[in-house]
Amino acid sequence: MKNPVKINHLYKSYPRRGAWFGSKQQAKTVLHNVTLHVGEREIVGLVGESGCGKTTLAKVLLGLESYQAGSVKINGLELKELSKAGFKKLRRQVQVVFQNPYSSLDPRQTVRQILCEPWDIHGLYKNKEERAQKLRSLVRCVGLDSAHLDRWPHEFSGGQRQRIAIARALALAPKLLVADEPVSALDVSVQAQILNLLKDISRTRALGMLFVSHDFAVARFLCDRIAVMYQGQILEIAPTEQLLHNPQHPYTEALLSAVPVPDPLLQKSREPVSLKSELIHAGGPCPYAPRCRYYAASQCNREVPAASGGEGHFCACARLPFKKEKSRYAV
Amino acid sequence: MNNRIFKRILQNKASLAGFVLVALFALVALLAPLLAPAHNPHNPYQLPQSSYNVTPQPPSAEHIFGTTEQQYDLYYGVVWGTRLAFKIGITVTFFAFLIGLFLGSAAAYFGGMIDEVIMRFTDVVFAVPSLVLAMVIAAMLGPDIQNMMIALTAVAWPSYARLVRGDVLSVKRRDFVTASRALGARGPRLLLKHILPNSIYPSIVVASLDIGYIVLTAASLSFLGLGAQPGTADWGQLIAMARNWVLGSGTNTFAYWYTVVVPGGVIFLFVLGWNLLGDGFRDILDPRQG
Repeated sequence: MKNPVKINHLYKSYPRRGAWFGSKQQAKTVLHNVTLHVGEREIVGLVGESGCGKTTLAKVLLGLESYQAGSVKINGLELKELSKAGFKKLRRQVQVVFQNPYSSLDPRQTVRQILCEPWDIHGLYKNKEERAQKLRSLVRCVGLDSAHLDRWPHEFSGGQRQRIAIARALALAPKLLVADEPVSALDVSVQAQILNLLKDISRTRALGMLFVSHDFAVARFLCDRIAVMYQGQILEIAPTEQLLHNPQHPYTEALLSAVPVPDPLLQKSREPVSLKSELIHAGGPCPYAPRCRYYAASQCNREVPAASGGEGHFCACARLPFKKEKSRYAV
Repeated sequence: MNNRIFKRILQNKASLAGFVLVALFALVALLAPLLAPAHNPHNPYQLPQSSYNVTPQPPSAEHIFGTTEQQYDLYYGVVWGTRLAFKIGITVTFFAFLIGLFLGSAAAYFGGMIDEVIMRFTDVVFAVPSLVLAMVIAAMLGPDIQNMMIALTAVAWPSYARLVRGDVLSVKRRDFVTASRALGARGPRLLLKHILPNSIYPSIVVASLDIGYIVLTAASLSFLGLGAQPGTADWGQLIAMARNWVLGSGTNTFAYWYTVVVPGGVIFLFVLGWNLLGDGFRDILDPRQG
């Protein structure tokens, strides 16, 4: 199958509860017409500011949140239509690595218990020897040692903990790994190790990955494609280098201009794009319009183009085609 | 880790004193048949009565703590009363803890209507002063030690339910629970393997503080005639029997001091011991103290 994960026209909103006895009020939309495909062995980055819906999208993929409209297909199976048993089977296809390895491991379980839990839940071994063997190879593949198995999470450093969390996610041999900012809580020196590990795993285990991040440098290193998200919508998707060197959407451009470059002279010569106003969604077709420096009423009230999940460069800006010189904001 | 807790209890003078007191009482309770051989083998909690003389007698070689009203031996009452106190304190705390744990975790885990119903019911029990409520229940069930224990359990569980609910609410949102859910774990497994092991410690501290308080309340009920019956080796009952002698005789206020001081002092030391020990646990398990 070419694309194990296909998200098409996904909508999700949270009901707003009123103060009085949970009276229903207007819903808050958190995902708006999201279309995104992830191929086998492909690492897709999802970049955006806090609260833009990145983590909600990840939770929908994990089956931890429902959705109102659209479709989420994993290996051709629609998430919403699955039976309980089918859903449990599907859990094995999608796994997650969280941002903070200090809260993602149960402090009252040993590493052995943590890593065996996935197999216990799904009954994936016949006897203790088989389990021990599986455990050994799992531990080796994330660069840990069998001697670590009987220790507690608090005895490990952040990087090692993240390796344990990755091992747990890999135990069920998933097709998609959702990595929710897996390195942003780690020291820079450790980040590279974990990123290399993730890259290796994706290649050797035929694993697709949705890599949620807000760090373009990290995303550039790891991702084949990057999607930029803003207020629940995907504004731009492109192959990594294309997106960084030739951002089409004004929001992407603004985001890239905010990334400092490690060259003082160059950094001084750059002009950061400042956003015009506070975070307000006017309710028009483009969520970024109120803050956009290219805003033009005549053009921006048109419907924005809708994404196609596939390859190529997609940009949700109504003002396209929109040519400008090569960007100076490359990471 | 348990070793570490134990070490720190012994390092702190107050909690060490608490530990020693509780250990001494536990020893007395365990060795009760040796310290005061039961005169009635079918019911060792029946106080021996040397005569029917009403006036208490001061400590003597035969009765080292003296005798109380109607010649009940105070020493015997203290020794077997210790065993009864542990029995009441631990049983009531255990069941109150269990009920609170079950209701609190169910409320927090399922949320919504279940949470509302359980917690509003908890609030109702909380709203009535616990001693008054325990008196009402004990009076309705009839004066008897077992009924008194039921009454005490009925008023002690709400604090555990509230405590457990709060802790489960905070733990169930943590990443390792979400990760387990993403692996396919369902309700019972999440609750038993991940949520409860990470949320019951504060309740255990409260339970250790509660044992002393429960025994104190039990003594109050016995004093009021709603618990142990006259002639039972129960601390509250011993104090109840001293009621007529508290003021002493006409000229000497302290003529019958031992009838009050002996059982009162024992209750005091018992509650003090558990409180010091519980405080020690709390200090040690409080994450802010590292």
